[in-house]
Amino acid sequence: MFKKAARFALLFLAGVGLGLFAGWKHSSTRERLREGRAFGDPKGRDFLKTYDLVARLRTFNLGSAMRIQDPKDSPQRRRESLNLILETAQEGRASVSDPATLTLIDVETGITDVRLSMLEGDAGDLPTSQAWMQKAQSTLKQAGWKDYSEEHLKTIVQALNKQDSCDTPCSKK
Amino acid sequence: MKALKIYAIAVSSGLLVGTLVGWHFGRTITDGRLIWEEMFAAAGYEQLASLQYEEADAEHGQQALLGFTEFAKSMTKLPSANSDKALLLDAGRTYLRLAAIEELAGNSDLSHQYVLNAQQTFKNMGRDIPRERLDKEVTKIVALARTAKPSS
Repeated sequence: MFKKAARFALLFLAGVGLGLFAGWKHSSTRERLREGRAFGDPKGRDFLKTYDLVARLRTFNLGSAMRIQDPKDSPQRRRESLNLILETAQEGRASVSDPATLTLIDVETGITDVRLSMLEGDAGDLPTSQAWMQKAQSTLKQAGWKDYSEEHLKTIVQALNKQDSCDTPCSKK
Repeated sequence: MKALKIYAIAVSSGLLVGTLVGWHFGRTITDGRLIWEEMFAAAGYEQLASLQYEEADAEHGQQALLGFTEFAKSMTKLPSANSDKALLLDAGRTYLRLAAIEELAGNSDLSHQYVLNAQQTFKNMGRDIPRERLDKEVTKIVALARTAKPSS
């Protein structure tokens, strides 16, 4: 009797497991398809790629701003999270064709370069810090920035770090 | 034979319960993730466009704002953006900034068009703001821009 009950429970649980996976997968796929249904044409698909890229960049941005503001986080982890933004921006550029968005990706890249420059400066590696700053200045100059002096860029990035780290739910603990 | 029947009942009832629960949680969690993604995309684009408007030359600034209005317009077609009033608010404010840029450039007709776009955007979020009030906002932005950038 006990054996039968155990076997029944086991089979029931196996069914639950399979059902959970199938139900989850199906409803999740269905919701994602529903989300992109209005964007079936090439223009719509371009939009979705840009949308996905901007959302990912924002996520990484908030994460790295939080790391920068957290005194316990190591420079290496900060460096890694900033490099992740640069990699994502670099890879994403290929899928974006809108010139306005491409310029904004450059702005994001430039801001990240300034963050890296400040990070290396704090770590005492002045040549690398200068190299990042020069890269940032050249990128932002190309994006049409009027004032791309080192001092001004640092002020902007400090304000952004503060703002972005305040925007994350984790920072509100 | 009877045992087989019982086991089949066990598997199928488990499958049924699991599918229902999985379906429910899959839908709820995916919806939540899509809403997060939508909020991140809107906030990310808006922040970069605003930064570009403040820091770049007039041409690049305007291009960034126009890019954001287009992006926001496309985003409103996403089911996850249905309840995002902040997106419409940001888009409406961006139209007002564009109206101010055109006003400063002496293009009254285009400025007027942007004010109408702003009005429509605010209407879409359930706020019917009279045109006169929006015109006043544009005048304020223009005055602010004139004091900030006397040369332009």
